[in-house]
Amino acid sequence: MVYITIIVCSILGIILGMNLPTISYSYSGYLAIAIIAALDSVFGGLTSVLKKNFDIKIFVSGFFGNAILAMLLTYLGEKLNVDIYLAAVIVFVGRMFTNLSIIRRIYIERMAKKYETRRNSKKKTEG
Amino acid sequence: MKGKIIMLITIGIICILLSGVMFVQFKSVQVIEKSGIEGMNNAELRTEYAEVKAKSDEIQAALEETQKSIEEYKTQSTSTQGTMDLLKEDVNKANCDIGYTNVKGPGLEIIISDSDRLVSYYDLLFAINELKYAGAEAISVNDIRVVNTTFISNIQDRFLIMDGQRITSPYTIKVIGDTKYLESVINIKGGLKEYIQDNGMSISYSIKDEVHIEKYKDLIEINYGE
Repeated sequence: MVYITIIVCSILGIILGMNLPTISYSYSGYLAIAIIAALDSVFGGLTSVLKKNFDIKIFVSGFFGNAILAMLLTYLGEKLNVDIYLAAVIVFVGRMFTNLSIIRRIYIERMAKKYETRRNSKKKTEG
Repeated sequence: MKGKIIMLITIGIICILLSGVMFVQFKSVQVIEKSGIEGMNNAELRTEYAEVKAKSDEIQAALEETQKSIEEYKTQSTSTQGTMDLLKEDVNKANCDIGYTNVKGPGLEIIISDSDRLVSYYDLLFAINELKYAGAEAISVNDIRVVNTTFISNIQDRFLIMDGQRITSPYTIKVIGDTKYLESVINIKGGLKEYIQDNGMSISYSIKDEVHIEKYKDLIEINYGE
């Protein structure tokens, strides 16, 4: 049910995005940083789902909060003539990799467990 | 159950938002990359701008210079166009006046020759002066043009010297001017003819429709006057 919602809504979003007008150059930087922040939240959410401590409130607030904060920081950086968006990119992408590695580890552990249990059951039937 | 539906709706909205925004961004980036300069970052733009500005300054300077020279040429050409013609006219007139050009026109050919008495230099000077008085425009004696530096003198009362050249009788005076006035100055009582004949010399003249008078062949040098 959740997967169907995700796929359908993603396709809807793609169609919507294709038909929306393009944004100007000066705003595309903000949008890019917001996207990265949102992606970070999504990966964080995936991790928490796998860890079984997913909270929709935390996910939603993180999704929007991170995106808005990242945009604000980018704006501030532009005003200060400091490339703050680089810090945001590093933090978010770094966290994405951390989350990805956690997800990977969880899946590998699960697969290893499955493999182990299958071998054990095989042994039991043989023995 | 209710909580699950809310969660699904939330996740759906977030998915729509994320994928929509991402594709908007993809499209924008594609468009920006195509249009070149809008896709550059600040540093690139700055260097590009500096380069373009330097080039533009250079071109501006060159343009200004060219325009200046065009302006110069324009003023020169307009002024020369007018002055050239004027100057040419002036030069022609001046040459005509001082005797640097061959001239032709209606006039008289007067021949004064020795008879009972030799022609003296002052007779010729008198004749020339009389002709000038009658409005002669060009005079020559034995094809030597009379100009404002012309002198006629004698050496040992025997040779007549005109502008450094010896002249001998008969003296042919060619003169261009109003033939009526010139004739009258010769024929008038107490005029040239009477004077020459009374002093024992002979004079004859003929009126010509076209008298050719050659230009002054030496150089008029002006060393002291300014």
